[in-house]
Amino acid sequence: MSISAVFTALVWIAIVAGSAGLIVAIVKILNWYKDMQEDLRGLWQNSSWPHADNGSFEQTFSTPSVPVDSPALEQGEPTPPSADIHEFVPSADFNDVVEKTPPQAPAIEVGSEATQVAAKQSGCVPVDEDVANILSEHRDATGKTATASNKLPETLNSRIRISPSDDDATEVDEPADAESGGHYSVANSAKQDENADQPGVMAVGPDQDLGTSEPEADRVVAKDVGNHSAPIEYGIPEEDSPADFEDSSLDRLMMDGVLATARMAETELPEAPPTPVALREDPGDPSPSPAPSRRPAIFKDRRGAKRSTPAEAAKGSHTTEGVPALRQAEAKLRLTIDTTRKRVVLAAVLSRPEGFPESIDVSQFGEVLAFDRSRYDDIEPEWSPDLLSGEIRLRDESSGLEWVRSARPFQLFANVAGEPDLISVPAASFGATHAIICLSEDSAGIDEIAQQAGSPALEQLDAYRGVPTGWKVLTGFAPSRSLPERPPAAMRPLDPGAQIEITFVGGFEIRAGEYAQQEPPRVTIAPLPSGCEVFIDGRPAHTADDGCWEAPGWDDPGQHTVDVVPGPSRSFSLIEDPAADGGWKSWPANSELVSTVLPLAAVCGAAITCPEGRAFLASEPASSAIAIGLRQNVQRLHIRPDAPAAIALLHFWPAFLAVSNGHKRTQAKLHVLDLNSSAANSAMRPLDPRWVSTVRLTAARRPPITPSTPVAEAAWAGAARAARRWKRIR
Amino acid sequence: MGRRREGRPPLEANPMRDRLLEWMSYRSQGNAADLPHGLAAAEKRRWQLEDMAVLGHIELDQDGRWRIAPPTLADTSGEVEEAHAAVVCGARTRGVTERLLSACQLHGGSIESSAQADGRPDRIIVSAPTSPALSAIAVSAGMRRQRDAGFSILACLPAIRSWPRTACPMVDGKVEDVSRFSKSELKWKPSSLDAARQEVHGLFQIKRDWTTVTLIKSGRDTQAQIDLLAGRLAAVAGAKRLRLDLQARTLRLPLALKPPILISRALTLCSGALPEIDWETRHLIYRDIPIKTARLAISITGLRLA
Repeated sequence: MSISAVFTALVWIAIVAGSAGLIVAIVKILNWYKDMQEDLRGLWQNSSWPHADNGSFEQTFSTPSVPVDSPALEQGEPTPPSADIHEFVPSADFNDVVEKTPPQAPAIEVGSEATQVAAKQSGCVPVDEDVANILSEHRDATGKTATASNKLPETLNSRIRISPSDDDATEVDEPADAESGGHYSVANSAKQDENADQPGVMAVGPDQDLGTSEPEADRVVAKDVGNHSAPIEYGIPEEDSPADFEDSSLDRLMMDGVLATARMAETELPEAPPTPVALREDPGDPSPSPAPSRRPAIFKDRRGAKRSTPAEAAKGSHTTEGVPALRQAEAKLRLTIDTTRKRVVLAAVLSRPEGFPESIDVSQFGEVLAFDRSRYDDIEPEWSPDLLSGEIRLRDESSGLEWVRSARPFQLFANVAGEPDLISVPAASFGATHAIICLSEDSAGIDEIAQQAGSPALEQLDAYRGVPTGWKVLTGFAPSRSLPERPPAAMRPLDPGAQIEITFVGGFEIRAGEYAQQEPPRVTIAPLPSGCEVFIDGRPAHTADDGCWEAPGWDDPGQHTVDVVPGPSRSFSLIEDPAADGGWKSWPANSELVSTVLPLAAVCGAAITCPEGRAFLASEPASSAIAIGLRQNVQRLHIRPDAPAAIALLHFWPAFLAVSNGHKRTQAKLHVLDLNSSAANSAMRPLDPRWVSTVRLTAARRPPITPSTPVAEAAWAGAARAARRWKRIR
Repeated sequence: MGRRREGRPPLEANPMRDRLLEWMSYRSQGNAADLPHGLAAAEKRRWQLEDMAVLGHIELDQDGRWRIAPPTLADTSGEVEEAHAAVVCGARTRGVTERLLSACQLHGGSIESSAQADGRPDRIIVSAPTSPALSAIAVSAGMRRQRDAGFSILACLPAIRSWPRTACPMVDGKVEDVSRFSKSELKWKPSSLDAARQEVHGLFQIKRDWTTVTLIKSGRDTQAQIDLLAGRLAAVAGAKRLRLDLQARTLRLPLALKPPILISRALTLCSGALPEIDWETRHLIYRDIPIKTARLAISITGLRLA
């Protein structure tokens, strides 16, 4: 009993102690929560962002990115109440609804002057459920959503408008980037729809009343291209870009979103999410555009960049699950400038790599025939303002082919050998005159860069028809020197770079850029500045005795890329000798001619070909010509009535050929043919009575044997002996 | 066709002189227009391709498409059983010649190379002490061997009188030119469409806007399209135009009666060299023709010995 009482007492003591500890812990948690709430409230009230005035703040961003010493805070600007948001959202100028994805993407950069003004103007704020509902209603009415806005640079910002499709539920968050000066979050409409019903995850864009009326506002392209896609534009801000924020158009906000996509690609971060197909004949067509199976192709000037070897590239490549693999090829553009009619025409030129068919069926354009071995006939889509906004992707669904032209801020054209008009090129080169298609607001910046590159002043084809609103065609860009300073990434294609030339000297060229393995070309690079490095297939190259560049494995079969870093690159391929890889196959050539005489036979080169397991034998004419196997099988040859020849397709490999023109010994002849493995194998099989009979009769006449060599005579003697022995056993 | 030139030193280490054949061997197939300018002059491409086809290196279509044939040792030793020699036909790269050299060294064979005119591929003759040794060389080199190649190819071909032809109606409408092949003069003579309709026999070439058709008449209202080379032989069937020299083992026939490629290939493979052209008499001369092959060729072509 005493033990039981002690045990009971201990249990009670433990319960009491535990309860006390739990109470203390709860009190501590409550205090900590209270302190935290106080801190957050103080911080929120110090910010310039509009916020809900009920004091209950649901943290949807990691941290407001406004410095505490910002002018906005010093001025103590009033924060608009949530009622302002309700009034603001349905505003006519807002076609989209802002979405901000917490917590990875703080909306605005910390510490910059731009951010301070942005904080004053943008008014990004988490909203409560009512606000979210209202926004959702507005979004349903407009069919669009918007994202937080940032100021786009005045000029020289690479901007690509990409039209997303409904099929892409993608979201991109760009981490902080010191150079770019901001953080961006991109979500397309589908993703936004998912988040629309979640209170507190949506942020409202800047109130129009608070926005400035900067000239850049003209650049905002707010178009409703249907349910499936809203044009998005992005630009790359420069470090010294103006700090103020642009007019609060939600289209601009979406541009910012795609800006993040482009910047992500340029900073070699993980590539942007699937961004939609851009090429459409009718932007207003509500039918959904074909959904891309891959991430959008965004152009990057890779001159001077190290390349991965083909094997590495193949290793690193991946395909989207569930999407059938498409053979991809490049789509170029053709710019036709008709100076007589003052007209500009843009066409797509689909390349035709080896293995592509003669005819393709491109969606929306129907059948397109091959122009030559390198490309197809031109396709002339309607040059709408959206056409060059993003990537261009054309497909032949039936053949599983796809042509892609990556998105880029401007299109560069030059004369290409063999083409009558200007063809798009990836980068400018010395000595060539280029044309440029760009957005109107970028033309001034491009003109400035052209002057730095030593080009004559660019001519704007403003009076020409065919150029859509918001775009310009500039001609006469002829760079004569490298840019003095490294231009922004988006403008690098305008820089012809150092005049380094990689040349392949000699070699046995089989196709353009493809050489026989045993005679590879010699790689020369000139001039080579002292600061440059040379790589072949990613391996450091060195100069050989003759001054040409080599690297380990440079002369192995396969593709090789010569990279000058920084500088140009050039590739060549070495084809392995076909003799080392099984050689060449025979085929039934001339069968239509030969089959009139000998069905199933053909003449391929110098050889008579026949089906597997058959052997061809021809002989001089005779009254009797019999093919004899080594130990079995005999077959009489067919005597041609119209020609002095006897022929046969045998189902065995002959060892002997007995030819007879009469009964005399001198009228007979025995040819000992070459023995091969097939004939030798037949020696292991049981003897054939017909063979025995034929050999016995032939041997009894003792015909002359040709060739009269000991080996041939021994072979025939062995066969005759085997025939005679077989009879004795029986 | 070009004159044969011999006397080159035997094939040594690995001189690869046959650039065009090597290039075609890497490409495997293509068009006449694909041939690189540096290796084949534009105006001579068709002739070069025809010569390559006659030598057994390629197969050539009517529209100029070619395809390389697999490497083959084609026996040249028709009746001389003791001398086992073969000419190397088909694709030829350094890898092929290297393997052939190794095989010859292994089996006691020898290789002799001689140049041909006008940059045609060298004639490479592989000799072996015995026929089995030659077969072993072919196996070691990864090549096929065609026994008695010239005779075998001829034996597979239809006679000219049975050469494939396509019956067709007589040409109507506007034509640019009509000519008839003269059996006596062995040349094309101007003619007319009416004459072509009225004739019972003869070979006519009718040029229309874009095409030229070769018709062989076998009756007043019976005609058929036929290959031009075969048609000329068919038109002069039975003519005593062949000259056979048993001592020199040569077969001569008029240049105007150049046989179809497969017949010419069969006769060429007897020596491995392109036929010579005697410009004075305007004759083609095929050399080293065995008697049995000559008899077969006479029968196939339908000509008679002069």
